[in-house]
Amino acid sequence: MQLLRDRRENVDVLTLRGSVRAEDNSALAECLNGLREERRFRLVIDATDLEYINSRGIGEVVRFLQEARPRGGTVVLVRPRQPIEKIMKAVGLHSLVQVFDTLDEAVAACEA
Amino acid sequence: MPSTGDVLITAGVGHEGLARELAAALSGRGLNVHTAEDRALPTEPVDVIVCFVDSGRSDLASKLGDALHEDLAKAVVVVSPAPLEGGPPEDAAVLRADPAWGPEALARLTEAALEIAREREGRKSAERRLAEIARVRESLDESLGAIVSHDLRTPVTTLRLLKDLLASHLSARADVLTKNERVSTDELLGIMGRSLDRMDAFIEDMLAAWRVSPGVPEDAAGPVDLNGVVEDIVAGLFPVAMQKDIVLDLATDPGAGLVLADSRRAGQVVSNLVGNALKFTPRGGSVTVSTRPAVPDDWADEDRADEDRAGEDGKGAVLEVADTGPGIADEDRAKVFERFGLGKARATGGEPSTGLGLYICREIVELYGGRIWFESAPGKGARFFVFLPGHSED
Repeated sequence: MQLLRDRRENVDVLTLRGSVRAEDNSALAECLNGLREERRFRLVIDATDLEYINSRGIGEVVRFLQEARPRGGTVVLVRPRQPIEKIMKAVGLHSLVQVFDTLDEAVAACEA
Repeated sequence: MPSTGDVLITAGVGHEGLARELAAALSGRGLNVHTAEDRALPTEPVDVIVCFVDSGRSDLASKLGDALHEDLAKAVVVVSPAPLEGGPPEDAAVLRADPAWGPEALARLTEAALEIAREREGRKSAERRLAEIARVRESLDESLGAIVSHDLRTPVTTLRLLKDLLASHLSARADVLTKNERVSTDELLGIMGRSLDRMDAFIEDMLAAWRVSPGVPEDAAGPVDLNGVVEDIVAGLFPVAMQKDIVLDLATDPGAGLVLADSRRAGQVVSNLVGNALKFTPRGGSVTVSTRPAVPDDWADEDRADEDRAGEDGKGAVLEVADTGPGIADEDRAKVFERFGLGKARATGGEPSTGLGLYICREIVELYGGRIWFESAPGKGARFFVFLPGHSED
């Protein structure tokens, strides 16, 4: 997995490339913990090149979303692939997380 | 003394004396003895024919064989100083004796022939009973689906509706219940719900097992995208994995390609294997699902012809499900794929277990010419493998 964080004014963009598997879970968790510590809860996840995310990874995203909302934050997604969409539907995330076709649209929605 | 068997003694010229002595010896043993002239075969069934002959009677061999096949006798003792021309009928129920042995020895041999006769009769009776059982079972199998589907499911559905109705009534009247009463009723409703879940799971497994039974029409096998099926099933099991804090990982190989199966049944195999792994893996553990192209070792096994099972073009795919559960105990290994083969391991979340899931997997996999096997040691998790033959696009 490749994980890139792009800090913008009010929004953070997390680009995930490849697959989030067992050996990658701690890196993702660490990244999200860092955002928590900095009290930054507006997050765009660019899933354009994300092939797969495991149950723990999805759990981390869900947990972050649950903490973000009461603090006025949100999590949005950019162009998740088929396997990710299937997973999102299975865990009910598709009704909680907005999905956008472009990064710019996602960032704009997050800042609003 | 009640007779313990019917014996017919036939003797021609020169053998009458020995035949009479034998008849006396057998009568003294409580047997029902008839005598007849040479060449006479019974017109009514007897247990044993004792036939005194001279050698050279080649016609007699075929007559004795006919008597056995027509059930006029269950065993034959041929008393002859030399082997019959043409040999005795080829049958385990024919014993040869020499007249020089004398009447006592011949009597003991006749009793041995009676034992053979009883064993043959017992075997035929068992075969008739087995055939009847098979007919009854076939009839039951045909109606089992209807029985289970309607007569078992309907009451369970009704009970579930009533439970939900009761819960709804109680919720509406929550203000008149004390806190303890609310807690108690919630617990009771929870127990009812879990019991109904177990019954539902058992009914579904029974139906699934019935659907793969011999005689039930098979779904047509066709090309199935194994990776697509696996992705769908694994995605659907994410909530279970997350609830139990189990890492559910997936790694599909595009080279796995198309397999020859029915997609619904292939999905059932994947669901049963992954579901089982999640069921028996403790919190914090992991289940890894992967696919890859098959290699010759995957389809060869000592009981099977190798290339015949390898699919139309010798290719196929393998699904692997590996977990970090307790592993399979040595004493459970032989019954892993048997019907109702519940092992020592217990579901870590209290989920119901019918012992049919892996049996169903095996039946489905073998239906499509595949193979299923596992590797495991106690305390070291388990890895289940499924090989399915490939499907050629040509």
